[in-house]
Amino acid sequence: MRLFWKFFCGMVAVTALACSLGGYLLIDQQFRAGLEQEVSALYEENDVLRYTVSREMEERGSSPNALASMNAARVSAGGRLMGYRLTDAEGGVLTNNGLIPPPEEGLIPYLSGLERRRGWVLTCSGERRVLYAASPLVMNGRTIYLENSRDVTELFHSREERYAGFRRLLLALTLLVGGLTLALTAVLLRPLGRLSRATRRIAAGELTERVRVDTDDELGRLSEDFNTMAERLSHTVGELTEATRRQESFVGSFAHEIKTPLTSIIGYADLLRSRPLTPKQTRKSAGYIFDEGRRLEALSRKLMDMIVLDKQDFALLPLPMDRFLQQLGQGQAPILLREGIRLTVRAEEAVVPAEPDLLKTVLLNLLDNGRKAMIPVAEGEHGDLLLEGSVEEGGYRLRVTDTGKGIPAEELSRITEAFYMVDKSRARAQGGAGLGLALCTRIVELHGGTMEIESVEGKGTRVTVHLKGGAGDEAAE
Amino acid sequence: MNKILIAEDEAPIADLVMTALGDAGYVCSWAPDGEKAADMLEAEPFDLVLLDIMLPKNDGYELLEYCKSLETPVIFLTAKDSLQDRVKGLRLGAEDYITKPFELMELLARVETVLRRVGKTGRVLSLPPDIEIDTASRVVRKNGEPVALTAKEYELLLLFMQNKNIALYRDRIYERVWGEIFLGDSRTVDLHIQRMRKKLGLESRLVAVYKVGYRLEV
Repeated sequence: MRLFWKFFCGMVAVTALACSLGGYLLIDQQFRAGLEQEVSALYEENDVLRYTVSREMEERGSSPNALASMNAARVSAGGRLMGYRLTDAEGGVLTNNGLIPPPEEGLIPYLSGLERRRGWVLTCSGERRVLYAASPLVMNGRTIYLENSRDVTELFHSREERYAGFRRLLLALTLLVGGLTLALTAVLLRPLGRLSRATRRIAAGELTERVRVDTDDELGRLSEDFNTMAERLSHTVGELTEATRRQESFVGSFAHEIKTPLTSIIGYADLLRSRPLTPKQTRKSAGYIFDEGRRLEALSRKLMDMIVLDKQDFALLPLPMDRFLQQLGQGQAPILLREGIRLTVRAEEAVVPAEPDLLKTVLLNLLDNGRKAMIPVAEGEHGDLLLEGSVEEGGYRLRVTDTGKGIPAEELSRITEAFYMVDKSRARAQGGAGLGLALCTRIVELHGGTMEIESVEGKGTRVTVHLKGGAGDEAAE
Repeated sequence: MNKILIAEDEAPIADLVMTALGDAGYVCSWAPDGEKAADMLEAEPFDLVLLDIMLPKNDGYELLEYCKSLETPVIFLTAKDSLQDRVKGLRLGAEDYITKPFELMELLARVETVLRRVGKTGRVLSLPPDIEIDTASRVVRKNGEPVALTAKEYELLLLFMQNKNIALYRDRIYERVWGEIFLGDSRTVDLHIQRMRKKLGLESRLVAVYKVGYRLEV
């Protein structure tokens, strides 16, 4: 059973029960009060009658004849004729003035302990309800009883009518309460419905689903918590998906990078061994095999570097950056100049904890990327490469700026992924495997630093490496 | 002669495939990227396209759609070798799916099979001056007279016809014709080739290559 119906039925049942109990008790109390009034009126009449009858008997005597003659006597009180009868202790009627309704026998046997006191009894015959009262009358040592009655059918009748009226009222009330509860429950439980639908949609994979929160009660808070949870969930799932995608892409790219040179090597070797080839064809085939073999070798070397990086435990040594950068620049400048690229090195003095060989790998990779990105601007002049080192707060900043072709904005976020190449055929032609930046990122991470890449297409690229711990807080490292 | 377009961004592989297919008598053209391939397909009709999937500019899947609209059969020639990739390629409507690295013999056989299936090649292969093979009815004729060959002998003949002037290694022959891994017993291959050679009178043209296998010289 749904919570909605449980709530609804519960509310209606409780309301109906409370109303009917209250109504019943109220009507019953009213009825009892009415009955008590009737009884006291009956007793009053009984008193009046007793007084009258006892005087009458004092005059006439209490012989049976005298009593019989009283049959006809009418006792009036307040202008109304009152019926009475006299009975003996066994219930035999001694006299009856004819105004008392049946039953014909006396009521004494029904009343107990009446010797001294009076009592009353309610009789019913069909619809009719009659109240009888009896009180003892001691005459010449003999006890006889005076009985009188009052018709209380009306009292009972009105109670039934009230019950009937109350039942109708109760029905209407229940319907009203039912309607109101229905509306109220629907409003109160709406957040639950929304929550449930959202949960189902999230379970079905729509991780962006959120619940609208428009109350600040417990359900509202639950909805907010739910949203927070969904946020975290979709974030985590997003991260996992991204990690999986990266891994798949790594494996896929790796397979591709391995298979492409292998295809050439196997294919040309097959050609050489099974066909008569011209010397030119033979040289070309062998050349391809050689080149592709070298490519595989380069790939395996870079991969090994990456694997070793993950395994190796290396120490960071204090490295005087200005000397290090100048030395690196001196080594690279002639090679770059041969391709028409001018390398400028500007380095501020600082001692930074670093692994010299790894840091050199990073900078050589970055310089190499800059070199490959150069577009011929004029005859013999390719462009400028700038290698800067400067002290910054809490560390040292290395920066390689080129005036090359730049990287398209939509590719920027992926270029540090292994095997990712912006221009594949160009990268291959230049001997790239798409591992350089991935390797750099890894090395910089191992130094506890960060790497940023900014680029404007057509203008150039600037790679900034932030290393922790400058000359000042060297001791802390 | 069938015209084949090779869409492949790796120059060495394209060169290799062109050499192999050229030797087998096909006319080949090379497109180094997807855009160029589409241009060439638009410019002239091709009987078959050998398509790399990871191509610059337009990838192989896009080109496949284009080829389908031109009703040009496509064989994927790719390094993507997962089951999903194969199924995807074939579902999209490629005639065949060859993964790198591949063997030239296998490439030639598959190219020929696809061309035959789509009806782009003649039903009759001929080995001048006297032998003809009707690939549809699998009947071999010498001087117009049918020659009874066993199924394996027929497959062997077909293999040599597809690889004229190429030395075929015994283990490769065994694996292609018998479809099983070669376990070093070459007598089966030798026996079948000798019987087939004798039936067709090819003793002087289907020659043994020392320590390698056999070559059909034309």
